[in-house]
Amino acid sequence: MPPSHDPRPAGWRVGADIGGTFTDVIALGPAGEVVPMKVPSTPPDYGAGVVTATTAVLSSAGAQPEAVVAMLHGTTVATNAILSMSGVRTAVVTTRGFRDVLEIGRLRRPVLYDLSWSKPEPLARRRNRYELGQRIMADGRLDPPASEDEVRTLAARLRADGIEAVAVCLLNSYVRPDEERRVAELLRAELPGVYVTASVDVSPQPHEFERTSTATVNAYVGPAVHGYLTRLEAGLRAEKVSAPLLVMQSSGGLLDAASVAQRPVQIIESGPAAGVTAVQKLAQLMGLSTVVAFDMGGTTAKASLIEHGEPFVSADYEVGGGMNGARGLSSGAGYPVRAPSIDIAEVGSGGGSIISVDAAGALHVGPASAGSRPGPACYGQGGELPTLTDANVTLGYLSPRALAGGRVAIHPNLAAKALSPVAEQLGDDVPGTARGAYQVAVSNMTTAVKAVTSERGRDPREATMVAFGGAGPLYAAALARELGISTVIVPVYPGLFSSLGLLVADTERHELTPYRPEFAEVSALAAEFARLSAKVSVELGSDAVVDRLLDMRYRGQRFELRIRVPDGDLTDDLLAETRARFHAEHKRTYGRAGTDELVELVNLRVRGRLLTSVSIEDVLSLPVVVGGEPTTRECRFAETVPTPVVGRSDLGTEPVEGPMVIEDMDATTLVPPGARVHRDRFNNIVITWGAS
Amino acid sequence: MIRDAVTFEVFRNAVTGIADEMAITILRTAHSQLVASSMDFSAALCDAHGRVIAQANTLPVHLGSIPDAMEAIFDEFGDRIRPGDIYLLNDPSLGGMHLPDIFAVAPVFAGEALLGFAVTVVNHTDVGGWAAGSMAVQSTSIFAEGVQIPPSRLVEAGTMNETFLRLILRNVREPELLRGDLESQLAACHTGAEGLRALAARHGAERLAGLIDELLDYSETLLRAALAEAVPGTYEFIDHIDDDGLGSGPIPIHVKATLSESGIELDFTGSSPQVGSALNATASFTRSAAYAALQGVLASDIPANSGFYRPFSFVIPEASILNGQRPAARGARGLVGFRIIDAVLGALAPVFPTRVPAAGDGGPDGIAIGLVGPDGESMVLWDPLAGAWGARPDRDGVDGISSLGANLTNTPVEELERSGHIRIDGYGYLPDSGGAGRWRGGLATFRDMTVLAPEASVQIRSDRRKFLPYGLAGGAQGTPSLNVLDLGGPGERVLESKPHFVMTAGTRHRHVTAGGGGHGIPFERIPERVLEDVLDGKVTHEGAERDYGVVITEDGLIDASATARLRGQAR
Repeated sequence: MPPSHDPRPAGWRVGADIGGTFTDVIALGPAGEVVPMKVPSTPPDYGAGVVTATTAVLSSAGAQPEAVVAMLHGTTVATNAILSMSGVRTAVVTTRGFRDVLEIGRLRRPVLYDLSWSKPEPLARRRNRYELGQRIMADGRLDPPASEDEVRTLAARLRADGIEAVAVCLLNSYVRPDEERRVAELLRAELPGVYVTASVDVSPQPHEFERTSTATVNAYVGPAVHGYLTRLEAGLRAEKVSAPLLVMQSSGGLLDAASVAQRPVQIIESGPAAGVTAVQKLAQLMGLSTVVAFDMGGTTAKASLIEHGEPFVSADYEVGGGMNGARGLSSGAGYPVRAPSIDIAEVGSGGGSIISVDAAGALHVGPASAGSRPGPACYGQGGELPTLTDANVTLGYLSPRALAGGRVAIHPNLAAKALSPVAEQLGDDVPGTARGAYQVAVSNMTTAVKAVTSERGRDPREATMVAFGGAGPLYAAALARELGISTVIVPVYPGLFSSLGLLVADTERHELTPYRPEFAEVSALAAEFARLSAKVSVELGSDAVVDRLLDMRYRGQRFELRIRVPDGDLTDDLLAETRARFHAEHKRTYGRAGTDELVELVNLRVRGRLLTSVSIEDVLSLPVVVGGEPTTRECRFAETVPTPVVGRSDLGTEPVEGPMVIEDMDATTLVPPGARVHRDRFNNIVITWGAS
Repeated sequence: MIRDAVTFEVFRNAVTGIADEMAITILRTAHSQLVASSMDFSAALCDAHGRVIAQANTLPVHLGSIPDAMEAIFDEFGDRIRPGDIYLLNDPSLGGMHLPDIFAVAPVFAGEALLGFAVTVVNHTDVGGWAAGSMAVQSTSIFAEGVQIPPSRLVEAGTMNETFLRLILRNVREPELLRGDLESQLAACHTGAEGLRALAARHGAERLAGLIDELLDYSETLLRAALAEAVPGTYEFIDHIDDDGLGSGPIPIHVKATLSESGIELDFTGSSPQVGSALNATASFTRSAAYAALQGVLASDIPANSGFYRPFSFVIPEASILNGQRPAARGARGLVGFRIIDAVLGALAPVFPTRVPAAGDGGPDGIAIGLVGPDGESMVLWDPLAGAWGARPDRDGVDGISSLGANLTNTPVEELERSGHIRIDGYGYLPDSGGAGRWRGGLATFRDMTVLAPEASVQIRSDRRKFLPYGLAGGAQGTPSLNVLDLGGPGERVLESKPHFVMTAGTRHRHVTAGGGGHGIPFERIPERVLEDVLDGKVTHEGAERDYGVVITEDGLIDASATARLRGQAR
């Protein structure tokens, strides 16, 4: 393993982020040149679009492919394999008597009253879940150990059944990882070309269902991710880009492609994590202590919280489970995965969200979406249902001619036509209805922000909002006002901000050991932390910054809080200080704290980071916008008012009164009446609300 | 009527958000396993009249319990409700349901004006009484079940009544857990109060009252729209609980549903008188269970508030198992709730033939394993087992899921084994246990356990042994639940459904949940679906031939001519 993944800053760094509709690429040159590019995504082989865009961006920058020192990638390939159920034929190998663990799950459903609800299809069908006559006892005894003959016989059966990936998850393997790895190794040896995951290698903790599920997801998407990365690397090499490929993990750090291919379960939330990372770096640069990252795209809006420069990272989530699974009220909708993931709350409000009225006369926005096909009615692609984008065009917020730097033509008459049936049902006019839909969307999105702030004991009014995504800057000011947030920052390239996050992300590795009784002795705890730290240092090199973390909770609780252990030798005093931190954090989050006797340690974690040499400041140069003389449009707020429409570069450093519309190549920022706006030294659009 | 669609929607979002936020506060901070695993708690906002404005989606069978609790609070405190007060109650004859469910109710004021109430109810781990957990079926009087709390003021104008709290804590087995969970209720009440005050500040008290009316009307309107497609008439159904756990039974639950223009009347006349054991429900719990069934059938996404209750009326006989009279024991009334749901669904099946599923496993079975550790410390391993949903009119039932009335989770096998006192030898589906039908019922689940400790005292609450989960439209019944002691040993024997027994080291026990009922004629099931089930081992080759008339060959293909022959003969 190379000691350092951080490339020399001398060359070009390329960040490529794949979305459902567009693939975004940003290149950063050695002299601070920033070159953005948006190309249509190329399903099913998304890698082709990345290669095309990379070569295009390099040629537009006049850079040689050999000059690229790092390819940094955010990808949905793992998520897509699950959402479209297109992973390979996957087997589970487990202890006799437990083949149904994966399918029984935790019995809970995400919806209380829906009698038509069905469970998600298991990623390994029952016929492909196989049992071995072995047993690991809870105390670690093997009674009996797995028989090599039986494993070999099983391998033959797996081969005959056409199995392409195997998740080995033996009961109690968390106390005897060696036994499970032995079975996995035997299967690997017998089944060349088959992707084999031992559950303890992706999730070493107790609780058989969550561990099996994590391993099964890993195996299910493994061949797809491995194949994708291999093809992408080959495609890039064919274009003479031979820089190391690093992939964004769900936790917000980069990891080399070879490691990702072994643990693809860590990149499920790759794309959203990249955007939050960009906000994190911006918050660090600007010295903002509490930041709400608000990301709104075509189908959903996402919120996350960054405190003192660090995002909140949760230990598990559900992939394919729809929105807000992390809140705990609605688990059971998807496939649980135990891998660190930035805690992001999501609601179904995006530019494509459909506006409707129900039988009792209530107005709804989303969660149904027109998606990218047919898309909003005003795109003229055959969409007939009104969407938020149609409302925004009707209100004058969005250009009545074209969006996305001229790539998408707009037909305002189609927007009005789509909205008029809704207006009729409400007994309102079309602009009034459009304005109502805008406000309802804002109201929906407050839920996501509250989930990551007030529900965690954080007052949103103390936060700064950083808005990005194609639609985020259109709603941010109104959303901030609703939440009492006084300052909104819209950074450069808001529509490409996730790929920008790739350019500035650190490389990161995680290691974990579940708590064992012997760790009651502080020397044993210290030794285990030292072992884990040494492991990430070997992988990342001696320059790595290593943090020790403890997952802690009170006895009986289901949720843990992750507490950083203070630096220094791990002693009883230091542990006491860590407990004090836990009490304080619990008190802050939930309004009360318990006693030391109730504290339980759940997991020991180590996070190693190799800090990047690139500062986000390097990429905050003012984007070049073609054309765009300042003009005026009629915009409907509470009243219809003539509203200046300008480019970012037209903004001065002195705050001026809204209303105003600021058009970037990749997004539009709305400054409502009553708010003030200026451009700061990082070329951010800064919108402020006075005391209300 | 909605006056302003935008304000209304923003308001609706806000109140739902507040109720959810209250629930999340409890979920994240409570210490007891029942809260974490079973979501056995609820949170709601009420207006100044005690009407439910919004209730978080946690436990279905709490849906209708709040109004009775609020009425009891008004009866007791009426004009003495003051800012900074918090009331507690758990007395089933005074607004409660069963003793472990403790309500905490906080009035919310803006200045002098009462805005409404933040209400929470949590099923506490133990509230005293003879049996750990305070929910034993075998209790014969409420005086044996734990501490009874009539509507009482725990906090008066911001000051905690420490004497009262000490008295409660002294009467329970795990006082620290109860205190922690109670604190999480108070924290949730605080969250709800803040939210309600913010709403009043935003809209003004008068407009807020108007919006609340609109919201309640809104639920009623949606509900009546869903009811409009029903054919008026009277529909009866009787389902049964096998026995009361003390040797008496069967216990009929009889419901007569009358649909008319004004709504639905559910008349439970003819149901069993109250029983000697702890299965007796309260009228509020009976309504709650019925609401859960109605919400499932009519519209799963209608906001749960007092407007939802309006189209429904009830006749619930006094001193029946559905409305027990003091001093009836109540601890295990959950089972009655599950059967009420089955009965109401059964009655509604002919009215809503495209929506009502066949019966599922009849509610989660509870297994409590009492152990004494080497240091003399006693512990209880709690292991809820749930099986199946019945088949739906257009799709199969669900395998391995909690029933409509509950939404709990199982305890991880590795968690149960960690104590070192038991070993789980298997946990999975049993083939051929789902009721046959055009759509197959969900499969039964088995769990085999060997005791490793010298001795374990085991208490099981299960049912559906004699009265099996019903099928619909020609679908077959599901299979019965089962308890087998000394499985595979010399003393192998079948135990009753609600046994209390002692196991010694090395003894093995099997519990099997009931399988779900089928929907539609089994011989009309598409053979390919039968084939898939056979390949997955959910139906055996023999089962395929016997129950579905489908012949699957050795190499996993449908024998079309043999199948046609079998299916033809049956006609």
